[in-house]
Amino acid sequence: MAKTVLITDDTAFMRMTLKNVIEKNGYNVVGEAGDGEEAVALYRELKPDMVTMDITMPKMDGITAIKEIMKIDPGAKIIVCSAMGQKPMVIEALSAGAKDFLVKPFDAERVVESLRKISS
Amino acid sequence: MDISSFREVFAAEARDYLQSLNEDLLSFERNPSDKDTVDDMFRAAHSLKGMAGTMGFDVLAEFTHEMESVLDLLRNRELEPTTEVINALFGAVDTLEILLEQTISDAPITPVKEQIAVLEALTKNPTPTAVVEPVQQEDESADSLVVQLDEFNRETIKQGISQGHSAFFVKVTLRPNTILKSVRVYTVFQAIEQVATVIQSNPSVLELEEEKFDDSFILTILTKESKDSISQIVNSVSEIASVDVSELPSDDNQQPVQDEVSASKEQATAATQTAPSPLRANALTPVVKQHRSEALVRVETERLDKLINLVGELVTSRTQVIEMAKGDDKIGALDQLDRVTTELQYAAMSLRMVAIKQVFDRFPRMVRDLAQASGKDINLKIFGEMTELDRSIVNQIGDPLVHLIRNSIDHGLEPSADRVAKGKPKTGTITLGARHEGSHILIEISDDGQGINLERIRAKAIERGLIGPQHGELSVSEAGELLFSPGFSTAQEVTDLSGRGVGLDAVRSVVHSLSGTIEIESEPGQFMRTIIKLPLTLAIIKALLVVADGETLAIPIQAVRENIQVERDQIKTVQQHDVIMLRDEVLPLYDLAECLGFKPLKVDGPLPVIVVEIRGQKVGFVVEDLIGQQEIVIKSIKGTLSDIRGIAGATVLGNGNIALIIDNSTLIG
Repeated sequence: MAKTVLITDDTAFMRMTLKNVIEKNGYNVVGEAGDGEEAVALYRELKPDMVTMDITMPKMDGITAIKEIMKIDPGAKIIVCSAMGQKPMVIEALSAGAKDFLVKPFDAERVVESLRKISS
Repeated sequence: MDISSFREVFAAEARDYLQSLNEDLLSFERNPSDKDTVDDMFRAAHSLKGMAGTMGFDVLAEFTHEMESVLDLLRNRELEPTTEVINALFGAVDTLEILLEQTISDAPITPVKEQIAVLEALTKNPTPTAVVEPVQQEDESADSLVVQLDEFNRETIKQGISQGHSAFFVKVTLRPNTILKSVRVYTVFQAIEQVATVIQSNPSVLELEEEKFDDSFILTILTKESKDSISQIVNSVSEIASVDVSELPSDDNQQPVQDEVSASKEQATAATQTAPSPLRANALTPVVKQHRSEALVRVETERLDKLINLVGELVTSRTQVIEMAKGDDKIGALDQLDRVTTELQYAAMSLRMVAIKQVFDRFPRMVRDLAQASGKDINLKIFGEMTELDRSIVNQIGDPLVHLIRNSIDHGLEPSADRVAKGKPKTGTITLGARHEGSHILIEISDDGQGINLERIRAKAIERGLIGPQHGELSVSEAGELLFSPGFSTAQEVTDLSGRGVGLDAVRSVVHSLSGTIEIESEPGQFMRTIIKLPLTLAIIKALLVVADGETLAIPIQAVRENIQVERDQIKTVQQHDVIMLRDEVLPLYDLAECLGFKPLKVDGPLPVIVVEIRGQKVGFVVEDLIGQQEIVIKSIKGTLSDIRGIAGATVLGNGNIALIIDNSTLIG
């Protein structure tokens, strides 16, 4: 059965781009969240195998969301997605429990590599 | 909780301590008979140890403890201050500096077994014969990516191997064009550190962090995993071009290792080093010291004070202008000035005010660790953490609180079994709280432990020669006084927690330096409570202006409860003191003029009385007249006039006159 992925990003465009790459490569996007709060709620509901998490978002930022999700499920597999120049936040996200990071603009191969590596 | 902001405070303070240790060592070397310097160094090391322990920086705390032990022998004159000893201490300060910066920057901590051994040799052998040189740093440049292990890393590896670990060089090559290389390196460290200890990194962690490397780096690790599984773990990280794990020649540990790791090239490396910058072989380099993050802006207090003083002047002239304009039409324009200055004032004040939470936040963790170490069940309750106070006080009150809490854990709370036997709850409770009272802040630390053991304190005080052998039973306050005396300790043995009786002495001197007071309350067998009372030394306060004997005086508004008019026939005399009944409470009356040594009041008709709260007690001050509320700038009175009972300072009023500010806590005995 295909692995399930929850996409989190506050822009619909980025969600679309990611969803496109992810689904083309045999994964199943089961949910899309527009902010951290939504991501936490959807994680609880959908229990996806993996999550992509944007950092800068309204309501609840990605780092807080990662911490919340790790509380719900210490084994959660989260890939943090950042823009260039967010190095300290990426480090914070990783130390909060994110398993890998992607830097925008996304390179399709990197996205797939990341999903493959953290799901194995 | 925001640990990162706290780290900066810790780092800044720890650096200050190391700086003063260095200075003291220099002066001690010149004048080894100066006992004060040794005491200072001992306290600095002790405080540093406590701080490091609080932050959970175990290596730093452990090392400082070793250093403190040496200083303890020195101050008790059980160790000769020979050149060797002083060299060893300088070496120890250097090591501490390196450990501190590594700790702060989250770099791998260099093992310090060797340096600890140096200090231990001094404490175990009080007249040292061995010449102990501070460990020399090798500073080799290399043409290619080579690993050079220094003496104590080699020692660590030897130890590790003897305990069944394997030592490997792990050469990791990132894919070319990897974005955020340093973060990728971080994920590699994260992965490896789950199964291995990183002994050394080439290039250094700092250089990796600053991305001063091409695509490859070599980690020297100790692990119980196999070569293959290490390789697999690193390969599970994204953007890795190749991983090459090779064994360290274990029999070669006696010699400096200069292994060309890049010699084994079974795996295709995507990119080879073209012209790597000179690599420092060791993480223990001065370079580390330069790396300090600036998450916290430190403003010189002097500048801050100047700003606040200026604002103060502005507030004063505002009042002047308003007074000038009274009755005129200019009021509208003045509203603006009023609003701006008020805002400016609050903005400036807020720079100085911080919640005590900043200090309290570190205690839950500390109590947890100490509870574990002491095997006691302890529950920490905190209240009033949002109470705000002057930042200069916050910066200084942390250490004393650490001491007091450790004291509660170490001497106050009984072991669980004893508590159960006494019919107390198994879990001991420590309460830490803060609240405002009048123009002061009260910080209290209490525990429901065994309280003060008056007899033991008496015996100890006699033994220490602090009181005579014929001294009778102690009162709680006398015992408290003794507990806070220099060199007094009832600790049965030296533990990591309680130290050596330096703590409470240091607590008292810090509190006094903040012009605060300490009070002890205790019920033997039941509880002990320490109450620290500190002034809210705010630069600008609201005050009630009154007149006594023709002088205008300012009473800080925080202390004022209400103003009342009293008819002469309402005044009664109880034990030769004037009192009135105020809503069923007896309110003692004082003549403010008389209290200050002015001519007693002569007023006909009803008396204006200001009800003020002093140490939880309400008292009434009779005054000649009431002017009203005003914001005033506290100017301290310096020189011979600085210590006048009942006077906290002076201020310039809107009309240019000077008013004395009443310090009601010392006004009446």
